[in-house]
Amino acid sequence: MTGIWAIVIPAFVKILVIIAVVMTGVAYTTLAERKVSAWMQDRKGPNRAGPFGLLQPVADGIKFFFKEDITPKEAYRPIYLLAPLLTLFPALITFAVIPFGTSVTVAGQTYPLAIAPGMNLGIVYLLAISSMSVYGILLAGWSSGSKYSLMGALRGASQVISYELGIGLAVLSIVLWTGTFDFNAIVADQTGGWGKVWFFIPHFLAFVVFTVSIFAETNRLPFDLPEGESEIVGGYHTEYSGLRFAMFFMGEYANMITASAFVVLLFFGGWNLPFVRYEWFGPLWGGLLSMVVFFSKIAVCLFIFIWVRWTLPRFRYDQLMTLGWRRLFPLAVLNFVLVATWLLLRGRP
Amino acid sequence: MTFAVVFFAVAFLAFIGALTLVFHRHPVIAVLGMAAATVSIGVLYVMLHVPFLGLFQMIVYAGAVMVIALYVIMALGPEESGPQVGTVQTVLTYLASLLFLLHLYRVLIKSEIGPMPAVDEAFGSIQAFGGALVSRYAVPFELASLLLLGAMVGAVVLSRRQWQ
Repeated sequence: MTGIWAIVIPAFVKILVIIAVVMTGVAYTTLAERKVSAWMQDRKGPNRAGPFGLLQPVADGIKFFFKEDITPKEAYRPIYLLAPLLTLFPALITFAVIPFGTSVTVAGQTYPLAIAPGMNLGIVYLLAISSMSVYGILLAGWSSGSKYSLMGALRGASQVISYELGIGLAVLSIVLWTGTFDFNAIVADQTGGWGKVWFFIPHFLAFVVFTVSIFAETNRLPFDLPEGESEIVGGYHTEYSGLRFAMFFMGEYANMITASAFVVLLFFGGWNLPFVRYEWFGPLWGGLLSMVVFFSKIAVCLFIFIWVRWTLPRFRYDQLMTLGWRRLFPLAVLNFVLVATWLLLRGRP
Repeated sequence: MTFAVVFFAVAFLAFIGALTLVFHRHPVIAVLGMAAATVSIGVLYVMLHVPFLGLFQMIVYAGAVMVIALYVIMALGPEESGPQVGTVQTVLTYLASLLFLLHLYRVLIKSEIGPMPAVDEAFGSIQAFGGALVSRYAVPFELASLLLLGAMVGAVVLSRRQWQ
């Protein structure tokens, strides 16, 4: 393996692993959503397909596959067909810069566990791609040619744009503190030394703003107004059916996984655990263990996403905008100024 | 080789996007064309060793400006419309475009065309970028922010008048 193949083959393997893990994750998050909601409401949840309903995502997938793909008469067809892809695509390519572990050594070669390991602008890339994801919502809603879809799309777009500011400022205060856009450096800054703690403790304000904004950014309850079914049927995906609807569905859950990974990397020490060093387990098993720890943390975050959804009622639209612009945005600015002032007066502790 | 292939693919996409913006009759498609053009230009910046600028081009133009444009067009209800001809405004627009084209041509014949010069590691890094922004280009930077502030105040005033 020489030359360009030494780069291409490991990258290809990593992409396959990540796509497999994320798509399985998406499938089983939908099952977890239904199981956890059933548990919270004292029901049994899906339990017919396979043991404990474990084959339910497969059954759902087959059902979506065989459903009729409907295009409404009023739809603008090329855009209508493109929009679901524009939702799913950004959700998947963000994983190119998310590191999911330390590194593994196989046959004397060390492979860092990230698809694009040398990327020192990971955070900017993630923000750039996630700022594109609003196109899918807007175009889907508009091209359907239905008033409910259009309402949902306009709501979705204004919500995503409003809360992106909070996310950006919260992330920037972390960047200011660590002095880097590199996920690896930010993770390294949170563990493995005296006084280094996970950032959700020293940057609690940024953590709160970021987490609340993430819920709005992924259109999850209590901020799921773009698809508020009691008001606008299904929002921007009202008119979609079959596999195209499934793509919106997968996009939403893939976005949840990305958002969880973002939270874990910025505020919960990435793949590290307190008082544990992966060097103890050797170059191969240590790397694999770090990957397992990282995905377990993501799973905990996903559980919290689901927990919140089945606990809190939906906001009213003006409340959502008030929260975003009058509460979270000033809070994020305040936090940013505080961090900057601290750095100016005291420097890094 | 790979570089040339990627360059021509991206440049072609930017070109098609720009043409779509100018010539397509449907405003939504025109805006999408411009979004495609801005993303392609972002990729070109990345190829010119300024990945930071390229990514910010995507965040600001494709992620914010074009989304707002799309939003406004959708909220107003898009209609296909032919080109307007013969008004004073269009004549002035054509004149300004012609001047800009001449200027572009002048820049093009003045610049040397050849292989890309080698640059050191620090070129295009966030540190270099930020340093230039607050030292050498501090005045243009502040002027631009003043312009944006003016635009913002103007927008607030206009919308206030409409409410009353």
